[in-house]
Amino acid sequence: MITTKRGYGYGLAAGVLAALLPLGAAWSETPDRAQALAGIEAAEAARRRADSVGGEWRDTAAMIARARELAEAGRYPDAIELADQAKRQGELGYDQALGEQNADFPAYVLDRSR
Amino acid sequence: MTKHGFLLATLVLAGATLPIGPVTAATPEEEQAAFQAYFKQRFPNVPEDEFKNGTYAIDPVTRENWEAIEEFPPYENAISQGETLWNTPFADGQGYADCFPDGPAIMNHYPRWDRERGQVMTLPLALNACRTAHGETPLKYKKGPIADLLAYIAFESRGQITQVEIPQDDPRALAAYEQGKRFYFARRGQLNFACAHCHLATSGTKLRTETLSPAYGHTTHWPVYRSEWGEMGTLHRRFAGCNEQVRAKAFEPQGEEYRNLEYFLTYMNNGLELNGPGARK
Amino acid sequence: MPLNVSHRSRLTALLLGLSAMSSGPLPAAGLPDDLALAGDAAVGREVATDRAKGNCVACHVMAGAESPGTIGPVLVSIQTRFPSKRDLAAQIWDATAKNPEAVMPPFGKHEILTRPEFVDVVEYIWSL
Repeated sequence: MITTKRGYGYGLAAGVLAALLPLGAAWSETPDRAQALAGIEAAEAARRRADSVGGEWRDTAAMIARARELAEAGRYPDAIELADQAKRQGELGYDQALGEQNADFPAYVLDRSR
Repeated sequence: MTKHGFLLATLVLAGATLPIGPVTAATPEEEQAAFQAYFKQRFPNVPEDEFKNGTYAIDPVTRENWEAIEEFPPYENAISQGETLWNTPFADGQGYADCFPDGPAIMNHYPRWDRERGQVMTLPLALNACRTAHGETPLKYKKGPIADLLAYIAFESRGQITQVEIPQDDPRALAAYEQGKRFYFARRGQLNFACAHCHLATSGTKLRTETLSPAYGHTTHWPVYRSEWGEMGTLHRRFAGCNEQVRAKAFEPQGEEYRNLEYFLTYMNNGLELNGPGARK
Repeated sequence: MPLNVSHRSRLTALLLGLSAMSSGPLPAAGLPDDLALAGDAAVGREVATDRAKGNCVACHVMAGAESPGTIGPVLVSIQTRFPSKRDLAAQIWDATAKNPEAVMPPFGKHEILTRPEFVDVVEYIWSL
């Protein structure tokens, strides 16, 4: 019955789950696997974004591949941790490339303020 | 002088004396002069014609080893294999000499701005363009037969002077130079290094036991037999390796980034004598 | 199947994670204020000399380290050169914060070291 304490919990969860329906494929997985896959996709998006500005780091793709392996092996917390790390690499690489767009001779070689 | 001439002259003079904010326009010539002056001032005891020998110009201990190695150079096989490749006709009966009538001593013709293609042309690209035009499969760009062919061409070109041009009447050439320059000074990779961080102010210092080589002299001696590789490799192979060493994802050999980088860096080395192929640790 | 507490909290985490997926700028990546600098100097020494980790010896002379580089300053009398351990930690976290031209890699900001490794290295360097 929805009116019991536990029932509220179930009702809430059911409502939330229903709200997640548009998510498609992820809907049919258990939450942990879904979380791992979402984390991996987020990492991949960040990696592609860094790559688009020439800022991808060396190990990011390998980390994502490893996270996929971990997810396939059911090691979801490990997969999520590694995927999050890879996502941060993608974000840091993107910011780095954008920050370096006007990279130039150092002043000790060529002082442009003169 | 005409009325318009006076007006123009006045405007030019006015413009020259007005402070116009941060000066961003130094010409490539000025940049090159500053680059070379920096290294001559940093290494005052190194004769100008020694910079082409890299760390061996500034590190007497490793120079001794290098001179011993140069008595029986590890790139000799590459030169003779390259010579065979150069002289072997393609399936259609033609050869490299037909694409390069000035060859094989053509090392200092590259890199150069190619108006038709609208891009920097490098020697490996030109060699593969020749192959493709004659129905041959292109060679890979980091090692193997391309390195042998380049070794032969480099050897035959020894003594030529680096003389990269940036044509003034094609702004795309200057844009390519600028992109190469930006690449050189941009931090990249997890370790956050630009090429400049190892090869300008810190050149001559030691990274663990290895002396960092100065950028002035970097482009004269390719391809290189590098002991670490145990084989020959090209300039773009080294670009890729350096990028990976700072934990950046490497770019494609002979892709736009490394072509423009080669264009900028070789222009900075203008005036230096070519002395490839080389042997390095 | 009955949803227990841990499932519910993971669901919440999923929702939060999904909402965070639309990437915005990274939070300010300075040394975290809540990072407790109480590491193990002996472990830090191992990390500092490990080529794949701190590799400090690549650029710095340090007591007892073999084949040091000469790119950075000698690591000695550290406590006379940094007002506090936290100042030292900030430098190792991201040297470019104080000096944009700094050559030293941002060991903390770029996650070259894990948090525990970072804290241990700080403890070790602080002791030099």
